[in-house]
Amino acid sequence: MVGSIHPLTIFQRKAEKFFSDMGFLVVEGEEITSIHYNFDSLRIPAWHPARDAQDTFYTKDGKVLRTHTSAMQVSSMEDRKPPVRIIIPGRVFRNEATDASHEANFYQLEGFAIDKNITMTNLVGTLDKFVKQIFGKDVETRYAPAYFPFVEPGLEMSIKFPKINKWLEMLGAGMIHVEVLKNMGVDPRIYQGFAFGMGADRFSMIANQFSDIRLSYQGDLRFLKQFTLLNNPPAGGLPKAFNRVN
Amino acid sequence: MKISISWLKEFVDFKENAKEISAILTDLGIETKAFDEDILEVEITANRGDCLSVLGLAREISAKLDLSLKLPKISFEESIIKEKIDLEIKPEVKKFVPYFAYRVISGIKIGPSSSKIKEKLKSYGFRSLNNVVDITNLVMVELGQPMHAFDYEKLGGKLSLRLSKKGESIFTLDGKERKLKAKSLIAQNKNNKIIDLVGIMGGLHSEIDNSTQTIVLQSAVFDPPTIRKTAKYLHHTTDASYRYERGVDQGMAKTALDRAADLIQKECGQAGEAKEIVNSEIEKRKIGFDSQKINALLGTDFSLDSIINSLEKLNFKISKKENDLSAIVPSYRLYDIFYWQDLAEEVLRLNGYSNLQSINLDKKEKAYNINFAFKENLKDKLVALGFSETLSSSFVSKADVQLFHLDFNNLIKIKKPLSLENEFFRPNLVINLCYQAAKNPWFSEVLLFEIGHVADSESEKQKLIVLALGKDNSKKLEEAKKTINEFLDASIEIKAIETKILEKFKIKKSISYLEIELPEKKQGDYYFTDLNFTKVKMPSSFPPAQIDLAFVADSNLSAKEIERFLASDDDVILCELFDEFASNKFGKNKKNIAYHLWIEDQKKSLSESEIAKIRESLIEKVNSRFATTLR
Repeated sequence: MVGSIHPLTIFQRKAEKFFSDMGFLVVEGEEITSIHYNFDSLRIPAWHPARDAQDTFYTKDGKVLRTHTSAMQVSSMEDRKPPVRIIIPGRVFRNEATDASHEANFYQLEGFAIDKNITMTNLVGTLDKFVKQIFGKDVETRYAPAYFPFVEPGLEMSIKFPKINKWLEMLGAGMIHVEVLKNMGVDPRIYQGFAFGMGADRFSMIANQFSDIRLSYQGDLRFLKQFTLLNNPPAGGLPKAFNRVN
Repeated sequence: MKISISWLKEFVDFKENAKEISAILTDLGIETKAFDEDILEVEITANRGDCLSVLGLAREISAKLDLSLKLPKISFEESIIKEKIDLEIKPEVKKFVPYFAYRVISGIKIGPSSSKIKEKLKSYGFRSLNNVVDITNLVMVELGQPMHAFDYEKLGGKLSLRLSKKGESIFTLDGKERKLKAKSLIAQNKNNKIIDLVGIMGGLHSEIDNSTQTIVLQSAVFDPPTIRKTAKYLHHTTDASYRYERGVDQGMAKTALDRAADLIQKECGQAGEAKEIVNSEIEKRKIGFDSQKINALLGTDFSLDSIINSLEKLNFKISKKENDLSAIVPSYRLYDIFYWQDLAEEVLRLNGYSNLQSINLDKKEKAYNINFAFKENLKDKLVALGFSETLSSSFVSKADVQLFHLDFNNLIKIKKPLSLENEFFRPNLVINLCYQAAKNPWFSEVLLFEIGHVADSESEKQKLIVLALGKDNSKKLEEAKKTINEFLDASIEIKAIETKILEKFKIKKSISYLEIELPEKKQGDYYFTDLNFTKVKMPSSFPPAQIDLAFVADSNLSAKEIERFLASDDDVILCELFDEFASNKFGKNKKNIAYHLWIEDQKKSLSESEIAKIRESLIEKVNSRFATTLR
């Protein structure tokens, strides 16, 4: 019997490898969080449609199943001071009907960097490099203005594969909003930074060419076992020795 | 929102076609598609209520293309109307009604609109009703200002704005009775009858009809959250409420009233006399900025002149006091622009995000994420034992909880789950893994593991489950336990799923599993395999058939190569090598290789004869390609 690794893990590992080489720490937090971390600290106002019970799972005791990994932005800074570089892979939740492109739980990858001189061009540089790492050198990128209450300026990144005349929206990002920096306990007169959030499922589905998000959560061995070492040999061949680091 | 190109051209004289103008607007952050040669399909983000009109989009285009903006010419004669209205805005609602203007207009002849107006409304998707209603709709689409026309006679001389009390109700124009909660903005007439669901939809009892001769035409600005709350609990969004929720420009409200009066005078009546009630003046918001800071945030090198120029094109007024620069926000952007970083986005937006170069972050030492790597390394080890990593739902139902003898008082209950399957947050991983094991009846052995979060009312934890179904399940679990203990000094108990539960899941084989909490690891190896992506074959919704094939092959032939060859066949969803050995009984330098194959069809269950046919064709393909023989 040959075992297999989940496709979302394959993506997370590639992401960790890419970002850890640039000094990003992995932070993993709790899936059940407060309304403050998930919404208020990110300037998502009480009236915002995203906060409706139709979209968000609230618990009986007044907490929320995080609707995005951005919920970790402020809490992950509570015991840290800039400069920081952090990525947050994790499971998030939406209270909506499931279909081929919607699941009640799915995965995101959040990332942010704060320092005195981090600019929006660094954000573009980082994202460009990342998607080329994931999808190959030939993939083109495009950036357009976008609105998320927790960044300013905000952007949306799309990618295009060679010979396919279609842009795919991939993720939202921007410079961390002044008020969010303050909520992190960071002085916005000295520090600035970028943040991005991407759907790990979307990356995984495009990279592995499947179109139904539910496959990732059903445990169908006909699907899972396609991700064996044999079908997916590691970039440098099968592993021989361990890198030991303490 | 649909907006016509020819209407836009009345405001700004551009040469671009629908496709080109769509691209320009999209680059500005206003997602637009060309619906056809004349119609744009526009999607506005929540912060850009100012773009919900022909004028709003024309302003953006004129700024981008550096073309002048032409407002509609308004020329009419005010007329003194003898009918008067007593307008009352109760003190409790003043703060929700920053601005209210109206005209009493008489001499109205209700009738069909001119074809020009009909045409314009049609381009947006509005049905033509009558000349007055059509004009209010036209001005809303054109200038972004929702308007409302009351039948004067039905007001009894008085229009009063107040907050609703719980239990009151109104019949709206669509004929529906709507029960109100407390604190919705409403209007009533002289007889205290509620005649308007303010900012959302007019009331049936003040509706203009074919005999209407005098109207009260309203152009007002309301507090977005107040309108939003009411629209939300009534589940009733209209073109008016959609705009009010996103913020309507107080600076345009009077112009809109005049524009409507002008059109009414030309089409069907007089113009009346305008009355204005200003409960709060338009804010003069001044934001100080500094070109160096803007460039340092964006990583650009815009000159001060080009920054000022860009902001001026977007109608910010720049003022300079000694060396301090500030920008005064145009009234239609007051809902959105507060910080100098907002100005930075405006400058970047107008000049194009393509101005952002791709610059690497400063080099930094690699981070060794030991805790992440520890889990991944553990996964690799379990994979090597034959287990497949899975992810399962974070939710369980009440029935699940009872089946597994858990007390749901200790669980995290979800408030309004869309589905009853999502009633509780999972307290363990085993429940949903049993579901997954049960969904694989065509595998004689199911070996799964998952790392995921569980929670009860006390705490949230990260757990690992390893589960085996099949004849050697407890042996597999012993191996897994040994492997885990190389990483973790934990006492691990191997458990069996009780028969009653197996029966419930219709599982005929036994299941063993272990479930342990995973601690944070701060020290250890930094190692895990970096796998490549693969092109997935979609599993059929029909069951697969499992067949075994054994071949006699040259001993130097790679069994993996044949496996890959078989797995790539269209009829095969999965292929696994299960046996490989050399023996003289097959001949000199020959070996036996055997595979499990799962074959299926996307559209149907395979019949016995179809299975036999596929089997024959696979044998034939392998034999001819690899010079093997069937054993």
